[in-house]
Amino acid sequence: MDIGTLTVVILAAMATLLMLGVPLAFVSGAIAGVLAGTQFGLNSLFIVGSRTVDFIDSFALIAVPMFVIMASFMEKSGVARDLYRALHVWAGSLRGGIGVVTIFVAVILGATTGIIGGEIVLLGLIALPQMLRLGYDKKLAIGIVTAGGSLGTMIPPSIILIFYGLTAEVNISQLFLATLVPGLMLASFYVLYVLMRCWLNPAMGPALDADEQDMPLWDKIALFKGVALPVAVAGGVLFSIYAGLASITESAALGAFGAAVAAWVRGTLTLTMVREVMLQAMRTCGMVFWLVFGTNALIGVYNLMGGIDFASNVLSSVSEEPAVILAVMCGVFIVLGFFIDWIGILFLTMPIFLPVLTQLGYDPIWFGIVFNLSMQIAYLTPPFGPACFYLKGAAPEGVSLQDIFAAQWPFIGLQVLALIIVLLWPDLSLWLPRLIYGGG
Amino acid sequence: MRFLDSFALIVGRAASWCFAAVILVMVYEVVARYGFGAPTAWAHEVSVMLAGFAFIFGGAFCMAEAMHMRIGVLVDGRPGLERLSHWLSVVAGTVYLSGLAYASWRMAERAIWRFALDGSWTPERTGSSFNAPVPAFLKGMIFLGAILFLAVLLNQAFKRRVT
Repeated sequence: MDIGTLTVVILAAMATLLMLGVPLAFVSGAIAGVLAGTQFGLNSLFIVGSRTVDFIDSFALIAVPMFVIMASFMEKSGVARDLYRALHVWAGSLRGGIGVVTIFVAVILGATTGIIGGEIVLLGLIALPQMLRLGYDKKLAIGIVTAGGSLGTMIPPSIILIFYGLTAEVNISQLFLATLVPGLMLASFYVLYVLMRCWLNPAMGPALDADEQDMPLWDKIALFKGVALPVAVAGGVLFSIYAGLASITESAALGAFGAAVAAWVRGTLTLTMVREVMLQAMRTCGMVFWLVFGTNALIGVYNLMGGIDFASNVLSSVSEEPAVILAVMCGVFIVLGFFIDWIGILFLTMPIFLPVLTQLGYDPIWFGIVFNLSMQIAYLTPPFGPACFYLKGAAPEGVSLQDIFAAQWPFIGLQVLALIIVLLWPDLSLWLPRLIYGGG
Repeated sequence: MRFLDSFALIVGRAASWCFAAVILVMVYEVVARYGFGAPTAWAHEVSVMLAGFAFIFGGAFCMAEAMHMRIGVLVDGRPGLERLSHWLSVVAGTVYLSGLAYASWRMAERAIWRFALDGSWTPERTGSSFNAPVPAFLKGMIFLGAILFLAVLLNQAFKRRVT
């Protein structure tokens, strides 16, 4: 079989196995094993093993469990609830105010935790019942929670960008800087959208009750006491990364330690909690990394067959125009996002896309942000929209999966808008890393 | 054979404390570097081994906890498709994990069974100043991790058929 036919067969096999509910961790690994065995003989299975070792033997990778641990400590010590309580009193008589506050909370949580699932569940438990109680439009409230809760990976620290940095071999600190402006821009799109909808139709998002607004200023400020330490820990981690005081992994470990200390100061730290947090990291890593092992093996074998060259050539021959190729890449991200998780998309597409991209003269840092934004869209789009599933698990009764999916479209529109803006103006994301690291 | 599941769970729970150890090692490293101007030579390599151990046995752990991600919407609740999905998963998992076990066995053999001319043991090392046997350790662990993962998978497949 020639490589073109084989590529089609591989894709068809992947799609079939995925749809039939085979665990993602096995799908690509099994295909890699069969390909290696049939195309090159058993000895070539060596590549399945060596790529796995190479992947694990990396100090930067340890940042992933460290950030997961930091996030779990924050989450379990009730930071989200306190943060929400501290901020929601400032919403005042503003229509849609609580919706806006929820997005603010989501952005701050993105910097302290930044794990999509956890953040959406928390907002679903804390903010969604509040908005529904105030009589917010159901779809608007749901959309705020899913879209806002997904912002975690757009705000540094971001697990997606760590994996992207490792794959594309670019500086992760620079990626963290580059995502900041687009991330905040997307958040402000959400804020403007909520304000606009509520301004046009006040019934969409009523203000707080009068007696809830009536709170002395000093009491409002005192509410911040509980969240000051965790937010300071998160700020310290980012500062240590940006200022180059410690590597990302070290900073993340310090953050995990700091989050534990913050929980201890707040009096919520217990041995059970520490055990749970460590197990959480174990689960996340076991799930995500074994998925990567398999995908990595598949890409290794595919490369051996000359598949990557083939796919890159096909991609480059789509058009003379770099912009068209770029659009095709984004299209692939979004289409794959309907079906599989970001990590699968990253490891399957990047080995093919990145060489083409550098050949066309694009900046891989900027492309990381393009990928990150595309994954924001992937989080929300049915039928495989992780954000929607997470919320379904935490949503109050009377909120069906159909409601949740139906609520996503305006927010998906805003994400597409942000993606187009970043595509058209690369400087929007690149000026900050340039400012700090110099050069171009 | 409940034993295998519990064994994978126990190993996983124990391995999860590796992360706590990594945190302490990193804190020590940063304090030693900035507080005492004496960075360690070993912190990074020890962390890679500790975390690697946890990553590898996370596979069997998640299998025992039935946590591995799958897209179930199309098959769950339809008995025929569910059975197909179950056995396809077992076959795919067996192909992949036995392939990985075979490959890592060959690699581990080469990395661990190494002797110098005078007969002394020289497992594959990093070559840094601390020179920990990281590659030899990781290769051996991937073999063990893949075998345990495979054992848990087959054990569960068998268990479901008898019940």
